[in-house]
Amino acid sequence: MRYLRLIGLSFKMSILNELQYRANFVVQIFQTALELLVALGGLSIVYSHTSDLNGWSASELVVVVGVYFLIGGVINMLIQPSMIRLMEDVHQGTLDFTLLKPVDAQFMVSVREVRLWKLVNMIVGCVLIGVGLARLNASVDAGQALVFLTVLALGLLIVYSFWMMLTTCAFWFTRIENILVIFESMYEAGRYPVRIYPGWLQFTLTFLVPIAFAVTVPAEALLGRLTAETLLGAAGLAALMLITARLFWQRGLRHYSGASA
Amino acid sequence: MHLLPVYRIRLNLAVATLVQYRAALIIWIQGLVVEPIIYMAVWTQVAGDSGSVGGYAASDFAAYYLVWMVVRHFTVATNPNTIERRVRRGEFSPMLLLPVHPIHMDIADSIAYKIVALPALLVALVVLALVFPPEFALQSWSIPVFLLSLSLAFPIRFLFGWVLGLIAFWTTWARSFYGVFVVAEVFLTGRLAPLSLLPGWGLALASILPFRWMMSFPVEVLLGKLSLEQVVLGLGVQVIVLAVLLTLLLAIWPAAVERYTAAGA
Repeated sequence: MRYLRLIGLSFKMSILNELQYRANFVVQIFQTALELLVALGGLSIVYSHTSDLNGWSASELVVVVGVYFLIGGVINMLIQPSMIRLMEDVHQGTLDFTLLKPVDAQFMVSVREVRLWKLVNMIVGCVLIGVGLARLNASVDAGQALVFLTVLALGLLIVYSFWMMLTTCAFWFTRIENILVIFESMYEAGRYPVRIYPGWLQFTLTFLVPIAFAVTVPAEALLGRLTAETLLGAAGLAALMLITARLFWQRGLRHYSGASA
Repeated sequence: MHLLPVYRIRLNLAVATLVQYRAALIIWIQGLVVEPIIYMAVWTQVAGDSGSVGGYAASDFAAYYLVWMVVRHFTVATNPNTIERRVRRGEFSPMLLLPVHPIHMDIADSIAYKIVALPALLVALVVLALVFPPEFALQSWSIPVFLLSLSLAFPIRFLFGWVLGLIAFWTTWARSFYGVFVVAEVFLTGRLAPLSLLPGWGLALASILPFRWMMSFPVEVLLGKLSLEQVVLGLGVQVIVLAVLLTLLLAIWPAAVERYTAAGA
């Protein structure tokens, strides 16, 4: 309960902070529109030369792009900002203030920042998913929706753990901002279902930089392509990565030397 | 000739700065590789179904993106966003006090990047060639003409970015406009797909705006997708575009500097 209240408070602070800069909302809409143009323009060029991409139709890929926007929005709104702040804190030694608080420090550093305007990307993602499903005449029943939300949540947990592990490396290497660039450029690959890539890249995108579980798998759930094994695999990987991230964090903290050291 | 020592010193400086961050090499490799792999994988799939798309078989796409990466590397230029940032933050002030045009620093910097990041490019090329085996159909004149068009493409891309960057001296909305520029680059430089796979008006647009001449054209030359007449015509257009951009820069720059002083006062 106490932790839920803390999340609420922390988000409220961030949102109040964001509301000061309302012009950013317009800028974000413009930026999202451009991203959308690239994603859909790319699809329309590809599908002007073929009617299916390794068994995926254009409308199905609209759903994939929808999930890509939705998850990308959540990552950019909730996960990435807190992680960037954590990197800066480790680098500058200001993590002291968080460590002194009488709550779990990993929890605290994970919920500190929210980029409200990334909501635009999440909304666009939902609209795209709706459009794609409508064009497929696919009906999603309650069970399927539940599976979708479950896989979505598992995917986010996996991405969160992945980010947490990357960020924790700052305890050893101090300056790792460049790692952000790696994740962002790899995330681009999520715009297409990972099965179209060569084997080693599929492996990389599934286990090393887990974009498959964040984007492709939830999209598969909506399109009725999900197998029970994948679902179990996602749950297993999420659990494994959460635990690993926790261990990483604890190890890393021992390396933290603080501001004055 | 007084520029020569300026270039030498600036180059040394830029190389030294870049070499400091050796770990960045890995990130450059990764950044170079990921995007072409995505597009190669997609187009290989598309070509796989019917054998070829618009005259490109899977191995042609592999060749296309390899050459495209080389062209991108050697045409890397100052981003209009960088110029906008300098205007917004007043970073132009110290640069304007120097007795040489600030564009020379930028030229030296982008040459330095090309030298330092060259190993990254080579590794990336080898990796990609192994994953997607390319096939080249070279003509006798392909390579020298390719080098010629590439050496025209770099100044075109560089000056285009710089001239667009000058807009920032007049409006604070320039940054949003550059977002449009980045999107146009994705479609019109042959990054997403070879220009001949775009709808007809896409190719026309890329040819009218200088996008085709700053990246796609050298690739088309080396892939042997053009006839000799088209190649000669293309080189002519490159020279004209370059002359127009140079004239624009020389005409706008003094006015831009005037605006800048006004803004600082």
